Amino acid sequence: MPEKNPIVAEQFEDAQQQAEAAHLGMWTFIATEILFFGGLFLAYTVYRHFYFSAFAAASKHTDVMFGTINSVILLTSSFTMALAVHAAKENRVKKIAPFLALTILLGLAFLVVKGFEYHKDLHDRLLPGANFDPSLPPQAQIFFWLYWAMTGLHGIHVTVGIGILTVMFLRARRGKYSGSYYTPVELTGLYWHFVDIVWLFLYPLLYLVQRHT
Amino acid sequence: MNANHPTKKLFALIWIVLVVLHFTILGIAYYLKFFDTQLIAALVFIQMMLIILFFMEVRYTMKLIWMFVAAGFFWLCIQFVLVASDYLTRAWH
Repeated sequence: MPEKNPIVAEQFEDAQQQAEAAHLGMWTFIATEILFFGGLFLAYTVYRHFYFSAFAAASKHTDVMFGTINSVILLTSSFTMALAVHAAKENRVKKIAPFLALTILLGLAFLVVKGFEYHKDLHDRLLPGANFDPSLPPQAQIFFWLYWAMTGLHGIHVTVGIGILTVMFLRARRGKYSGSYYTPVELTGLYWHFVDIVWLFLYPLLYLVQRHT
Repeated sequence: MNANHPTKKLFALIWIVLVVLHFTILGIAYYLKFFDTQLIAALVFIQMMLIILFFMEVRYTMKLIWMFVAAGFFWLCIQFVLVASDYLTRAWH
């Protein structure tokens, strides 16, 4: 009986087939995530269409500086993530963990900045409910419900990503990944880049509505 | 999978372009009074495509993955078109 590669599960012919199946599975998951966030983007589109002036007024109360800093942080974290995968592919084993660590730190930085922003939002009475800022039109509460829901869900995704990245980091430090096996690092990268893309859409929708007026 | 993959230099270039596009979007939002939404949407779309094609390496992968990526967005389009065809054609107010 031919000797089987220990990293290949028995249902696969070889490592390549296993990697392709894993990628397809991850992209299927991402497709469901697109629809998951899609529902919220759809709700945003419909309400923005109906209550555009209220959405514009509400958007001006978000802090564009926090949003911009976080965008640059996430774009940079995507870059470091891509470099981690690249290091694995090139079999530069010692570079994988440092790039993953950088990505984790940038993810944590994103959450810290978001925490400061949430604190300011609460202070400015931007949480929908009885204590909502009375100077804003009533429909601004819809905007801010979507703001908290979308950024909150995105934040949960970032937190989950940091958790997975931490597992990848620990395994990379133990030398589990190399040029011959790095699929988990690649799949984590796909997830992380997807989370980045979601933020790229959230940023103009939540922070930049009618800023020029 | 395809053996080709992007270089570190290309990744760095893509990152710079993404950040430049980001600040361009910010500038448009503050200084452009007309077609700002359309222009910002186009630039965010370009950012998304750069990440998908290069950081996620879809450009270098098998065609079946391309189909899965396209299917995700196709279903999203169906979701938007069906809902918009209802909300935007009825007098809800």
